[in-house]
Amino acid sequence: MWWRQLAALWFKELRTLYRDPFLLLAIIWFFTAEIYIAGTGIRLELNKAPMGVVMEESSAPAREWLAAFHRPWFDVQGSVLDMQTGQALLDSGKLMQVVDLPPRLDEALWRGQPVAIQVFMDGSNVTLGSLMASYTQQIHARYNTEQMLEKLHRSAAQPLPVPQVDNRVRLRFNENNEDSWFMSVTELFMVITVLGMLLPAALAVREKERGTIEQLLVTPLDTTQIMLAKIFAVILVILLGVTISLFCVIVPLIGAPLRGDLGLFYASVALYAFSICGVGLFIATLARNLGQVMLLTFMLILPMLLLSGAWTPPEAMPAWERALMAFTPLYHFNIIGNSILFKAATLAELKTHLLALAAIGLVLFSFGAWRFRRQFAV
Amino acid sequence: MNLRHIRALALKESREILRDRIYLALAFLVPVLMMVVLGHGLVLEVRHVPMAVWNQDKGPLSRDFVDRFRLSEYFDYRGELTGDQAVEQALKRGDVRFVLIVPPHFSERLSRGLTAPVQTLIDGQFTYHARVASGYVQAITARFNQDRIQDWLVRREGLPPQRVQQQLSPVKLEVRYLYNQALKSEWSIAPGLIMLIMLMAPALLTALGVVREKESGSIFNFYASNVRRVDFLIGKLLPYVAISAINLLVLTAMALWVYGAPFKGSASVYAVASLLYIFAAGGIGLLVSVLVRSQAAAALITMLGTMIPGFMFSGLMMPISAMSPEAQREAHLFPAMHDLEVVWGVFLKGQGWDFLWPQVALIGLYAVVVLTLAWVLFHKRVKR
Repeated sequence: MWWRQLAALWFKELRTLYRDPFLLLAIIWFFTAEIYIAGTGIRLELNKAPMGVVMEESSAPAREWLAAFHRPWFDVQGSVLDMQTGQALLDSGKLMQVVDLPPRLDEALWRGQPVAIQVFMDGSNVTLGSLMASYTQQIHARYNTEQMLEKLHRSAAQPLPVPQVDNRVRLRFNENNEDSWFMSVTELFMVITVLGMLLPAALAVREKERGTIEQLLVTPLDTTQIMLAKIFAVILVILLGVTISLFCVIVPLIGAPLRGDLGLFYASVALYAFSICGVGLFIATLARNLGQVMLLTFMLILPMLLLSGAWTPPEAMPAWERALMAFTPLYHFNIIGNSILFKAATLAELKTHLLALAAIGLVLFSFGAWRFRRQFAV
Repeated sequence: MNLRHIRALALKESREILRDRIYLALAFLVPVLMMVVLGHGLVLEVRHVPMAVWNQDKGPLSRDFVDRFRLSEYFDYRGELTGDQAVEQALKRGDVRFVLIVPPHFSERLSRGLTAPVQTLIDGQFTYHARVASGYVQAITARFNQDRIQDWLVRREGLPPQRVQQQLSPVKLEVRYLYNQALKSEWSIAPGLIMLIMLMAPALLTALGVVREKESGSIFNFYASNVRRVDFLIGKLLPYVAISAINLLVLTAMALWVYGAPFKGSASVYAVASLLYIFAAGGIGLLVSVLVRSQAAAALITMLGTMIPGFMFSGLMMPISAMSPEAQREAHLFPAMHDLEVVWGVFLKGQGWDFLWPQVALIGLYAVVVLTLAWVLFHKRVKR
C-alpha cells in the first residue's frame, strides 16, 4: 500500500516535469549539446601561444634556442624592436610571451661566461601562465643539455659516451591526454549536480507557494512519501539524462572509454543523485519561495562545483578547504565517477567514498524530512 | 516609455523585495560569500603535486636524482613504494599523481657513462595538471643531466671543477610574470570572479520576475492594464540593477583590499563597462523569464545557462583563442568574455579607453540586444 501510494505520487511528479516543454528541452540541451561543445571545444593546452623576441643581433645559438619553441605550443611571431614595444604588445594581448635574448650569446657561451635569457609572460591567466612556464623551462633545460653535449663532443678527440638519464613519461588512465574526456565527464557531473539540487527544491517549493502542499498533507500520505516521490522523479530524470549523455555524446562522439563496471557506475550515479537531492530538499525546507531557493542553491552550488575536486585535484586545495569539501557529496562522487569510468575501479576500492556518499545522503534526507514535518505538522 | 509607470512598477517590485527579508539578505550576502570562498579556494596554479618514488637502485646517484624531485616546490614527496602493484594502486586511488620509477643499476650505468632509463607514470585524469607536471619532470631531469655532463668531465678528464663549470655552464633562464608577479591565482581570480558573479547574480535575481507572476496569475493585472510592455520590463529590471550595482562596489572593494589585487587602469572604463554588464546579465534573466512557463524552468536554465559560459567560455580557465570554432561561437553569445577582458585589463594591465572601447561597446550592444529580444518576445496576449 505504502509503495503503491509512493508510485502514484511519483507518476504525478514525473507528469509535471513532462508537461513543462521548456524544462524538458533545457534538460536535454544540457545533457547533450552543452556537453559536446564543452567537451570538444575547450582544450587546456597551449595552442600556438604568440611569442615575440627581442634580439639585438642574431647568432647561431640564439636561433637554435628559438627554434625549439615551435608549434603547436608556441608560435614565434617575429622579433620586436625593444622591450618597450614588447611590453606594449603584451599589454594589448597580442603576445603572450616575450623573450629577451642577450646580445653576443654565442660569445658568452664560447667563453663560458654566465648569461641569462629573460622571459616575460602574461600571468593574468594562471592556467595559461603555468603551461607556458612549464613548457618554457622544459625546452630551455633541454636546450642547455644539448648545448653542453655538443660542446663536449667538439672539444673531445673521440666521441665520448656521456652518462644521461632518459626519463620516459607515460600517462596513465588517459594515455593521450585527451582534454575532451576530462571536460565532458566533468561537465556531465556539473549538470547532474545542478539538476539534482535545483529540481527537487523547485518541485517542493512550488507546492508551498501555491498551497497545494496543504492538499497533499490532508491525504493519507506521509511526508516521507511526498519527499521520496520528488526525489525518485528527479533521480529517474538524471539517470535517463546520463544514459543519453553517455551513449549519444560521450562515448560515440567524444570517444571516452567506459572502462569500469557500468552497473556500479549507474548505482553510484543514483546514490549521488539521492544525496544531492537531499541537499535540494533541505534548501526547500529553508526557503519560502523560489527566489530564495535559487539564491540558496547558487550559494551552495558554485563553491561545490568549483572547489570539490572537479576542476582542480583535491591536493591543490588548502587544507581547511579539503576538510570542508569532504562533507559535500560531489567531492566523493568526483572520485567515484572518474575512478570507475577511467580507472576501472571496483566496488571494494571505492567502498569508503560510497559509504560517505550514502551517509551524507541519509543525513540530509532525514534532516530535510524532519524539518518538513515540523513545518507542516498540525 | 512612460516614466511614471516605470517608477510605480519599480517601486512595487522594490517593495516586494524589501518585504521578503530572507531574499533581500541573500541578494546581498551570496555574492560576498562567493567571493570569499572562491577567492581563497579556487587554486589554478600547479604546485605541491603529490608524488611517490619506487627506487630500485639505492645508489648515491639515484638518491641525488630523487632528491631533486623531493626538494622541488612543484612536487610534494609522499614516500617510497615497492612493486608494480603498489604503484598502480597509489595512482588508481589518487594518493599520488605521479610515480617516479628508478630501475636497478641506475647509478652503476651512469658512472660507467651509459644512458640510464627511468620511468615516470603520471595520472592523466586531470589533463592540465598532468601536462604542467610532465614539463617540470622533464626540466628537472634535464638539469640533472647537465650536472652529469660536468661531473663526467671532471672525473674523466681530470679537470678542476671550476674550469669545467666555466667552460660548460648552462644558460640561465629568468622567468618573469607580468601583471601577476607570483603567478598567484588570487590576483587574477579575484577580478575574474567579479565577472563570473556579476553575470550569475543579476541574471538569477531577474529570472523569476516575470514568470513568478505568470505562475501566480498576477500577470493578468498587467495584461489588463494600460502599462506598456517595455515599461513593465524596465520596472522589473531596475531594482535588481540597483542591488547588483551595490554588490559590484562591494566585490570591487574586496578584490582590492581583501585580495590585494592592483588597480592600474581606467576607473571610468570599469564603471561604465560594469554597469552595462549588469544590464546585460539582468537582461539574460529577464529574457529567460519571459520565455518559459514555470519558475523551475527559469531557475534551471538561468543557473546552468550563466554558470557554464561564465566559468568555461569566458577565458577565465583558458583563453577563447585556444577553443574550437563552436566553443568560440558559444563564448561570443555571452558578454562574459568581453567583461573579463575589461576586468583584467583595468585591474592587472593598466588599460584605458583606447584599448577597451570595443569591449565596452560590445557589452553595451549585448545589453541592448538581450533587452530588445525580451521586449519583442513578451506578449500581452495569452497564448493557446
